[in-house]
Amino acid sequence: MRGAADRPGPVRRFAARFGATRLDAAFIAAAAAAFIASAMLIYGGPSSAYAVVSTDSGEWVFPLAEDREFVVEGALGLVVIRIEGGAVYFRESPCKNQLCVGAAPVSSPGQWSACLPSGVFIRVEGGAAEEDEFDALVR
Amino acid sequence: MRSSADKRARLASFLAALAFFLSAVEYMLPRPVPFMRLGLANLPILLAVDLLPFGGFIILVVVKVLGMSLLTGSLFSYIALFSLAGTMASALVMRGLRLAAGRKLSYLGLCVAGAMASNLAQVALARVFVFGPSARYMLPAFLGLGLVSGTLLGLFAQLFARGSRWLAMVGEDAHGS
Amino acid sequence: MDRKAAAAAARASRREAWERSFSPGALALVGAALSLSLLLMPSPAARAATLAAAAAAAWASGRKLSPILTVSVMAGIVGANLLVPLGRKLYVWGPIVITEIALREGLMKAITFEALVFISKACLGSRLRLPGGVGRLFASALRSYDRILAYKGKIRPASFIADIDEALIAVYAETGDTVGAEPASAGRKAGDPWLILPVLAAIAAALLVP
Repeated sequence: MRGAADRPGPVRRFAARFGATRLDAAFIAAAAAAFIASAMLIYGGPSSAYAVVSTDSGEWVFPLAEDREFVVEGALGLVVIRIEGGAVYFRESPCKNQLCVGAAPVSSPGQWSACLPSGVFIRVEGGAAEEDEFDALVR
Repeated sequence: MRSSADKRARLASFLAALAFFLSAVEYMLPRPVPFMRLGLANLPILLAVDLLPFGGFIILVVVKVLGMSLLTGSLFSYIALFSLAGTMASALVMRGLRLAAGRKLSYLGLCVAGAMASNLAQVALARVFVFGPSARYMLPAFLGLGLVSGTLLGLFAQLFARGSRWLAMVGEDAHGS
Repeated sequence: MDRKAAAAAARASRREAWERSFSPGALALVGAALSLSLLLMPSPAARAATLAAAAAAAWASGRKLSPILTVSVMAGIVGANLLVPLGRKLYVWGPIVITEIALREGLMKAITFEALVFISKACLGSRLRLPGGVGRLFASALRSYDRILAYKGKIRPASFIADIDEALIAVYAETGDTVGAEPASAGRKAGDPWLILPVLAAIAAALLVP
């Protein structure tokens, strides 16, 4: 008579009852891994970053992930803003000093860019939050 | 004496009818989300992996999708497109795995792989045609559902296949013995 | 007669009238043409109008419709599209942001989705005879399906698999040499010529409405 130590484990018995194989188990494990990986990546990852453009007439939201060019109406005329390579910047502006167009593109949450004469402001929201964030840095 | 081609046609038509029936059963069951399907109707296709030649297998898939789309009145809508993509992806994966792994994979493994392939294909299409970029938030849920439903259905299919006289009888028909 | 039975009876009589007026082949062709035109319509208003017309047609054809399901599916599609904000902010309520482009795309997709569903429901049915080998197989599968539904034997949870096996053996035995038979076609019906009207309207909407 077989003692308790000789009987195959419960998993083996379960598998034998159904005729399941080792490869079946491997596939199930792979599927479970894919499920967990997707859950971690999609639900756990940082939310994507957005460019939020504000003027007197309203606010616009565009994801930084996709290259795009768009036009908003500023106080002095049409302002062209471009999103490229995950960063956003002023491409054209009717202002006199053109400081906005010359400024570096911004891409991290909390960073901002502005064309003060036009009253057009760009800020970056969302994305990976940094531990110590400052509202403004004086260099 | 019926020719083997006739026998295969009879078998294919019966399997399709089974698929229609199981689709109807699945439709009756309460569903948490309209787009998620259990995959009951793919069981005949799973069995057909070993019962029909490749040409007949593909025709079975087409008849199943076409038939359900006509019966539910959804042929011209995205629903039929999702159904076709999901069922075809599942069918090709299951058939391919049987070819590659032979008997080393039972219906359990085939079913899980098929369910994952089906749900993956449907999420991909949903992203393009219906939900847009936020479709990716559905992906983990669909993969999880595929894992669970594939495992349960696969276990059932294995249990059924081991004890079924009908399957044994039809298997003889299919392989011309 | 209670409400459900009355509704079912009304649907059945609408279905009969519909099938008397239009042949399945003509309806299927019209359905395909309407679906294609819908996908080519640039105007959301035109698509919405098509949705309304198709829903009315699906109702007239005796199909069972569920407005609640339709609305919730459309809401789900719009909601999913709104999850990724895009364009001008239209409305902000706490964490919920409704943006213009996301809303427009969501609405368009939702309207298109359901319009196609209703066109299909109105124009398709099991009486459709498909050509060739696929058609014959489909017709014989339908006959087997009817036999499955008519199976009188019992399926008990205790002997589930054995009972299913019995059922399969029994119904399979009934499927005889019926596969080869060519199904009879339904023939032309009086309403068929009128079907050109919705097709012309849809094509006009696709070409003329911006």
